[in-house]
Amino acid sequence: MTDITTRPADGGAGGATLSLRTFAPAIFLAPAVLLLAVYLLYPLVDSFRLSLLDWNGLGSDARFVGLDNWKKLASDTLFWEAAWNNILLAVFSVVVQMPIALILAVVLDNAGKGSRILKILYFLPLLMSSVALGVLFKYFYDVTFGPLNALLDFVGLGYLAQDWLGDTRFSLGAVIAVVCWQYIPFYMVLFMAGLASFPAEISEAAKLDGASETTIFWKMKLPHLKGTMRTAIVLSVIGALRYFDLIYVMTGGGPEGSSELMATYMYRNVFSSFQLGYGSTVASGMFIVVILIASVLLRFSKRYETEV
Amino acid sequence: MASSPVARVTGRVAVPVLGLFWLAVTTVPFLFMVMTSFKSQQESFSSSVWALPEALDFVNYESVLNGPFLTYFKNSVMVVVISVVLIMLISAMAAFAFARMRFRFNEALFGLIVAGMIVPIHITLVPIYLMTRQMGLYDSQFALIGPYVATSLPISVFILTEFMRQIPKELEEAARLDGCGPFAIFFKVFLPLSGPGLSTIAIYNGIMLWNEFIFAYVLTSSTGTRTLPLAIWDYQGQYTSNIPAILTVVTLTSLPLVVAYAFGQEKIVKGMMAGSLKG
Amino acid sequence: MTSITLSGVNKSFGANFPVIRDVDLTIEDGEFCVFLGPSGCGKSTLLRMVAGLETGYSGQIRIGDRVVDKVEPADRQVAMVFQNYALYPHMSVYDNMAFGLRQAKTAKDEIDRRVKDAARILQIEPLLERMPRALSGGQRQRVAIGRAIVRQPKVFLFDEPLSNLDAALRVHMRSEIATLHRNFPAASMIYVTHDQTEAMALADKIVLLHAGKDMLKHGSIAQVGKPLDLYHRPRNLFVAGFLGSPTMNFLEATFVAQEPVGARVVLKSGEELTVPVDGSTLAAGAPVTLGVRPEHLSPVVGPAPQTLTRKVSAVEHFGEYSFVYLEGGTSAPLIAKVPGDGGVKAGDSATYAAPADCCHLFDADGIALNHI
Repeated sequence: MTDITTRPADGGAGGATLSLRTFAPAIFLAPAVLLLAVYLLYPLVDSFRLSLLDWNGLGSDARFVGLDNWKKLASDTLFWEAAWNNILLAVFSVVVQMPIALILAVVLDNAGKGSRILKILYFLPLLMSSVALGVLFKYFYDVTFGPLNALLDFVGLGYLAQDWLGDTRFSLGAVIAVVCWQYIPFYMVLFMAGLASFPAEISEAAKLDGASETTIFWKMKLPHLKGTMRTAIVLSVIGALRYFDLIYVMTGGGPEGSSELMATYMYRNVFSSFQLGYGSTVASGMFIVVILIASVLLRFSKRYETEV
Repeated sequence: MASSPVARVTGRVAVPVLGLFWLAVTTVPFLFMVMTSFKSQQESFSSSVWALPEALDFVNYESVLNGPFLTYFKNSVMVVVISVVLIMLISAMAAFAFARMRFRFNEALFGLIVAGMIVPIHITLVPIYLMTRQMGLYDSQFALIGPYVATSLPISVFILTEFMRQIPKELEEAARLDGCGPFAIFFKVFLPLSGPGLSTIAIYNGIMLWNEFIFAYVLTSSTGTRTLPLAIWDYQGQYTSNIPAILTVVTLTSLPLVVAYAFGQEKIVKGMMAGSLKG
Repeated sequence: MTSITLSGVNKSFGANFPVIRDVDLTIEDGEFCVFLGPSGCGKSTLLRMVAGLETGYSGQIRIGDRVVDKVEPADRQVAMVFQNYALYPHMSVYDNMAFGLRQAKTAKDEIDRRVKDAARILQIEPLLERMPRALSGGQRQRVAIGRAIVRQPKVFLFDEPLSNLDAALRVHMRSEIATLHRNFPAASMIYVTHDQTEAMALADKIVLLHAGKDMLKHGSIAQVGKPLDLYHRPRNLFVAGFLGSPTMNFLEATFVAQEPVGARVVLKSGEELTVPVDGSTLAAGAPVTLGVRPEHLSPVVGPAPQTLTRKVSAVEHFGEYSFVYLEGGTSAPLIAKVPGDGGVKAGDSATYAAPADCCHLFDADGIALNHI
């Protein structure tokens, strides 16, 4: 029945040979898989391996300590306080960023001609590196020379001036404020896209039915944004759980751990205290915490997904 | 159901007011930054912080640019350009396999790679640091390229796979009839047609990597190899209390992206929002 | 020899989803064959099997003397024109047409000659440097055809090429495809469509395909033959109802007896008619279906042997002819296609002749009784 004569006639080049064709998927995937295996998978696994050691990273005197590090982690108040700070960051970044971003999206939606310029300017914070922002706001918050305290002084609220970054009561809040400042434009653009995707016919039909702009906004446009909101919240929380750069530059996690995050705590253990083993335990612990919270969040918010 | 007078006033007045308020909140830090960079060190101590500079004093700019600043810039350009090119090629190849080829584990592998987007990359910091030292790549720009490309792959593959799925199957069939094997189909049909998707991930990853700090900080140590975000960090040591000078460095390091933004604002916004597609 | 043979071809999507059943078919050298049928009948799938784009079937396909089941599409010496043209958007018209030849490493001047020749035939020479997005639908279709011509294939495959064009353009392109067939007498053409007008106009041979339950019961092929054969001698109810617009009228009837001139039947409405078919296998009282095409119901002027009298429910005027809708059909009103105005209006009672030699009779299974 089958007679494999592949004698190419005029015009038939045939392309790749049979064996090349069978391995084609593997060839296309190889570079990506290889890189991910080396730089993502292996480090993940290695992190767990290192967590079982007591090692300062320099010499070769690594001692196997089994689960000692993990026991230490479980009762390490500093770690759990840092984790709590991550959660506070997540909560506040949602609570502060979402409403403001939404309001700004509405502003731009109604701004008409000015919206182009506004959009360009609003977006600037996202272009800065976290180092740049960290240093900039470090001086902004400076207790003696910082413009913030100078401004408060100027408007007669001088008594409100604080050592924002140096006071354990305010350091986390000050840092959260900067994170929000940086990322609000991101969610603003997200919501703008959501608002733009609202079908114009619906608001036209509603207007014919006598509804006002406000009614249309609250009763129709907002519900339409449910799916976008879900995406925004998920991104915000997951981002907050992984945060590092800005905090490290601005406060290093201090003072006294008041603005410590899991990632900065890990960094400090490894590169300041030279506890590679325990630092890796922190890292692996952080991984587990993030994955858990992320999966719970994703599963819980599935019902708010936009129907396609 | 006409809107109440209160609602109308709120709409007409409050909304623009909020918009302007936020405009101030957004731009004031930048203004402060640029303003201060033009002051001399003494000036920043003597006069009020919010005062405009006496003159456009470029002393700080001269000082910074005379230093190794341009080396940092050059390193950033090299690392980011090489990384982005590799990311585009490698993620396009993987995306093509996921979007168009039939093989076992297609969905499973794709899901796994996409899940990689959740992993906090700082967890990989220490093992990669150790690995880099072992490979002898420590303190070279090439140390950065591997981690940079790898960490950018999940989202790039995700976006490009979606993109390539949209390319009509008929084009692929016509190419097969024209005698194309999978490689020809990829290079001659799919890659050219993925232009918009490729530029999106180029911009998104380009910006992310340009501003990347911690890996560059850990994997490089000498001025000759460090990238731009580290310029700020390194100059802190040199200029300790010279606030205007430090802010000059901050301004200068932010300038390239702002200039690029001025030219391609639409594309850059679209590119950066690529991160939001995971939903 | 570029005949195409399909033997015992069967295909299912998964275990429970048969798509093609028992297809045995030969398309002769230089023939224009149309695969016709409703959606889901597998006509496109069959075409793609010939092209080599569809695998996973049982049976055998031969092009010429060659068994091609395992041969790559590019090696089969076929060329395909897709429904959505499938032009490479990033290449010019010239490059689109040259692409396949370049892949085959054909000499540059040979490529140039073939592309220019095809462009001349299709009158698209001025478009050679343009990009597909700058072309109209009809122009794109011609480029797609040109891309097929330059490959000098033995078989041209068309997958519903005209369905995306507007009505006027469709008629025009239809004649161009007919011209194409005349210009390439050595090549066979397989053309897929759901539009029976296209099929009737273009085909040397029509392959009408079943879908759904009919396919499961009788196999994919309903009837194969010349267009007029299918039109005048449909083998079953499906074929009878598919060709012809408006559809053939069907009336419920009961078989009475077989007479020398034909089978006598009694309509549900009482009239008795004789149809010149062989009903000798039928028992008296067996249910049958009488079929007669709208254009064969002519208004009666004077006495006529077989007539139907019905009440007119509506009349549609098209100028040259009219449709008169009559009550009393099996599942739909009877339609008579009459010249001019028809001479009646809604509510009237009208009488139409159903001449014996224009009638068809189908048994309880929907199979046509043979004409004598």
